[in-house]
Amino acid sequence: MSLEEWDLTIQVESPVDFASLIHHGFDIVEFYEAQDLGDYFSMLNGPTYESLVKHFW
Amino acid sequence: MGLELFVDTEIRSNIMGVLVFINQETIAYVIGRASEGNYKDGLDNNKKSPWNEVVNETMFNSKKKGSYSNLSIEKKMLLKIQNENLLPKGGGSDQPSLEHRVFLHFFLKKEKANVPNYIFKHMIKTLKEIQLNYRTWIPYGRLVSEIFNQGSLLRGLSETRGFTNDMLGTVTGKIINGATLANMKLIKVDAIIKLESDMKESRISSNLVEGFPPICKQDPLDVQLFYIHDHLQSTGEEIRLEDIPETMYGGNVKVSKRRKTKRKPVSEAEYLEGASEQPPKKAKKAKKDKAPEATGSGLASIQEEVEDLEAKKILPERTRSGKAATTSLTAPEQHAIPKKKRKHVARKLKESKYVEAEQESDEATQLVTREVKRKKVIDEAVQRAMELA
Repeated sequence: MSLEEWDLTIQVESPVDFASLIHHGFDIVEFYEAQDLGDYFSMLNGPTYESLVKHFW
Repeated sequence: MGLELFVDTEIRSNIMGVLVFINQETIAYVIGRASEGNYKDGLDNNKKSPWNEVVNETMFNSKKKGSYSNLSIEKKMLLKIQNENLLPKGGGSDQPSLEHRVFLHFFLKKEKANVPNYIFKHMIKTLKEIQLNYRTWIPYGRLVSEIFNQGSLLRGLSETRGFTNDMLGTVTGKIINGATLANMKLIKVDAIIKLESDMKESRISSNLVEGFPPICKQDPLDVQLFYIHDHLQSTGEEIRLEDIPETMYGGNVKVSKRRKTKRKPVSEAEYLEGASEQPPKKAKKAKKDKAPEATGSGLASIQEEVEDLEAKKILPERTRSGKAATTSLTAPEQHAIPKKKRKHVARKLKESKYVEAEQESDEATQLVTREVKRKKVIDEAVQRAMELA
C-alpha cells in the first residue's frame, strides 16, 4: 500500500476572533498574550495553499 | 553519500524542485516568538507520571482526573483552540492526552511553554505517522503555507505568473467566534451576537498576484484593455492578454472544511483534473491510439468498449472553480503544478494484465467460431455431394 498525494487531507488552522469571543463573555486572549502568541493568531487568518502543502508532505 | 551534514533536526522536502527545510527555528521565526520556555517530552500517557496530579489540579481543581464535562467553559474553549491550532489532534477532542493536558496547564498557569518546539515535534510525529501508518491527515496547513510565503518559494513561483487560486488549492480556515460557542453548546443559539467588527475570512489570495489588476477573462475585452493600459501607465509593466487569468485572482477563497465533515474520496482523475491539468487525458488518448496497432484487429471490439468507458465521458467534467473543463483547454500557457505520481507503474502493470487476459479470451472465442464455421462448410459440402450423388 502506498499513499497518493490526493489521499491526503490538510487540516487548516482556525483563526480565532477574540473580539467576538470577548463579546460573548469569553475573555481568553490574555492566556495567549502571556505566551507571546499574538502574532501567530493574527497570521492564522490567511491563505493556505493546499496543493503546495500536499506536495511538500 | 551526497547527503547534507547533520546540523539540527529538520524536515526536508522539495516543491517543484525548490528545496524546503523546516526546523524549530523556522517555526519560531514564522510565529514571531523565540523558541524558549518549558517543554516536556516523552510523557506517553503514563498514569504514574507526577504530572498527572499537577495537571488535574490545574484543570479540575482536584487530584483526581475529571472528564471533559467537568471542565469550565473557559477551559473547554482553550482546549478547543489548542486542538485546532497549537497541537492539532485527530479524532475526538474531549479526551486529551497527557501531553495535551500538560501543554494546557502551561497556558492556564501562564507559564511560558516552548510553543515552537511543541509544534515542530508534533510535525515530526505526524510525519512519522504518515510514513509508517499511512495516516492521511496533515495538520498545520496554514503554518506551512506561511513558511512557503516567508521563504523565497512563493517569490520564485511568482516569476512564472499564471497561478490561480484553483491551482494552488487556496483555502482559509474557519473562524472560531461566537457561532462556534453555540456549536459547542457553551451558549444558546439565540445568544449569538453578530458584530460589524467580526473577523471575516481572509480574502487575500496570495502575493503571487500582488499588484495585478482585478481583471479576468470573463470581463469584456474593452475592460481588460482599459486595465492593461492603466497598469502600463501606473507601473510601466506590460501585461499580455494571454496572461490574464480565466477566473478572478482575488475572488472568494474557499473556506476549509472541518475535519469532522465527511469528505468524498477524491479519485486520481478528479484530483488531476481539479488542478486543471490536461496531460493525463492526453496520455490516455495516446495509449488508446497505440493499442490497436500493437494488438491487431482482434481487439477492435474491446477497444470500442474502452472508448465507451472512457473516464472523460462518464465522470462529470468539472474543475475546482466549477467551470466546465473544456474552457480550460483553451487557456493560454498556464503553468500547472507538477504532481507526484508514486503508484503509476503498478497501475500500468495491472492494466496491461487485464488487457492481455481480455485479448486471450477474445482470441479463444474467435478460434472457436472459426472452427464452428469450418465444420459448417464441410457439412454443407458433404450434404451437397450426397444430393448430387
